[in-house]
Amino acid sequence: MADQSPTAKSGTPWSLALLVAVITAPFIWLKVKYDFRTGLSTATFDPARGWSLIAGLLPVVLGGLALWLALRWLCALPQLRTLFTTCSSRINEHPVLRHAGVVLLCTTILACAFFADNKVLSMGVFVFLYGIQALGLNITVGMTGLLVLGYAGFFSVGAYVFAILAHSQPWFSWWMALPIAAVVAGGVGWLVGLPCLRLRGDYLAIVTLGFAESFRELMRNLPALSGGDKGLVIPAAAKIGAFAGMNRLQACYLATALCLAVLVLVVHRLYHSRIGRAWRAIKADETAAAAMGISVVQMKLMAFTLSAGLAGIAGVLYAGYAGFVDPSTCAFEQSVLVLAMVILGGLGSIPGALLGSAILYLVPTLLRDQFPQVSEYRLLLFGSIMVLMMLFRPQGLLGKTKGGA
Amino acid sequence: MKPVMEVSGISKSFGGLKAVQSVDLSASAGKILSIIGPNGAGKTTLFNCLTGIYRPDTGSIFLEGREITGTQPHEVCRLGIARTFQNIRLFGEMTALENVMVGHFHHDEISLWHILSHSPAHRILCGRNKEAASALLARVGLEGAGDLPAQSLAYGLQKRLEIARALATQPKILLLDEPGAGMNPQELGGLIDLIGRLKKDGLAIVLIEHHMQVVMEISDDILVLDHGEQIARGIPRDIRNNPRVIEAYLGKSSSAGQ
Repeated sequence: MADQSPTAKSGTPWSLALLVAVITAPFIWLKVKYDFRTGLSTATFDPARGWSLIAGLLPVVLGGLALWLALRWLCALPQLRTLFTTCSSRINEHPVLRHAGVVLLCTTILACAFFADNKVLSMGVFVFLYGIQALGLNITVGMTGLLVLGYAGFFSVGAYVFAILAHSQPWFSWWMALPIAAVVAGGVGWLVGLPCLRLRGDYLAIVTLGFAESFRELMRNLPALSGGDKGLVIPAAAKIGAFAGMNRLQACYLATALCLAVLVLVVHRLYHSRIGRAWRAIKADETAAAAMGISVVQMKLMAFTLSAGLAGIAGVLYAGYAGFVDPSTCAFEQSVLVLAMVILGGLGSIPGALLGSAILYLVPTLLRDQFPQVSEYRLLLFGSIMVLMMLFRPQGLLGKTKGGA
Repeated sequence: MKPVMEVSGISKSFGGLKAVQSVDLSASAGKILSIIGPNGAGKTTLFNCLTGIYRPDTGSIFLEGREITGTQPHEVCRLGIARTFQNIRLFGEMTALENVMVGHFHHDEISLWHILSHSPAHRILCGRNKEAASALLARVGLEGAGDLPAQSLAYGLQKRLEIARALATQPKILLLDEPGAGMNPQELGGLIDLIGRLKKDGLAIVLIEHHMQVVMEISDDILVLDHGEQIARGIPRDIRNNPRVIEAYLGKSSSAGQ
């Protein structure tokens, strides 16, 4: 297979991947136990555990490999390729066809709200929530080329804004929280970005990482305001969906879908405007962008503020769905997960961000149902996927396509 | 005629290295000023001072009678100084047309609301921008290349695209940093034509170039730098016969550059 792959010309990626595999493989036989009384963790060798993991993963890996080979074979067929190019050029020539596709997709999503079962609906809520976050992070990381490592911090700001307001004002509702949280999270993003976006280099990555960690500690240590470690229950969340004969879950599903749709349109319009072009120019070459009259600091701040605002909106939606907020909403793992979604989908591509978020949320969730032992190694899987992506498709699944959106 | 840009006594040092030492120059509409000198003479540093990338240590820059010394690069561009780069600095993944449209940035300001609602005003602006960008591409000889990613173009075409992008900012002065570097004689001929047409359109052009054939053919005025110092200045004929210039630059080989 190595000789077929155009990217693996030298053979180095494969040997490197093998090396990584050899180094990481022994860990699946280890069982780590944390003792709450002593605070010590002990690692023991557990052979059965490793084999059961391998037995669980094997069908997934083999299935994936078979699918990959089948796709390669199909893509290599010349008839299929000409069919595909004629189809895509037809769609480009007739915008009506593309609009019909969008309408069909929207109708399907809408229909799901009334015909799908609760499990599918709650998975849908998370797909849309991660979609909004990946869309937002894609503005900074993908389009403007600024690394952000604490994105969950702004998500958490949005969630807490809703929780705290709803706690103090009983009449306060979900819908009112959306614009307020977007503005507050965006404002916090602006403040965080202001000092470090004036500088070149990846200061934003570290500063946002620090912000997310500090915000979590702040929320843990302000029990009067935020409920501390226990978090806050949001009574207003129970009232969601008290109209049009829908239940709470249906309302949450439709609200997140609607928000995602509106935000995709907003980001799409921006991407193709002078602002989007300025962002992409800054990503490609900051000096050249400035020399073309783009106020680099202002455009970077705008991208980051918008990005943080989107995270705030996702935070409110999540808080409304869960009815509960605690400091784990700004866990580092969440920031990394959303970043991985953007990278997997393809930096700078809007459909890529949506696809990446759907894959990285759905695959572990579905795997958890089928193979419970696999989900413990979720992070190992993410790591492997990221390493393989970097080696074989660094531009992401849908990256670097013309126009990108 | 009053010059568009007047520069006096510009100096810039990096630590102990005096990259540019009290250089004066002036650029006028419809004239070409060439800056020549051996490698490391401080030509690109001078450009970086003029475009605000570096803040000069001493000296002043006047654009149409207004001092712009120490202005930020994007402000300098807005005021009417555009440039190309010695090493091509295009926005590689963006299409050629988009690269040129980036140059429109500061004169297609429109409120966010118009963009988000894709209002008629925004549609008209988009259409006009696209037309203007296509016209610029045609002007530099890149018809039909609009939809290609900039990085996929041939080297000579990328150089031309940089000029089109700079022109899109609607400059009064165009600074060209070695536009002919790495071009073959045929491509150079095309470049000379292009620069000649820009001159005829009334643009003030400042040119850094190593090809003596190009410099001597199209320059109205030549400034020679060596080790950051201005060693000669004048019309091509005088420069060619200037003993200091021959010593510093042309002396080693009388047919330098070709």
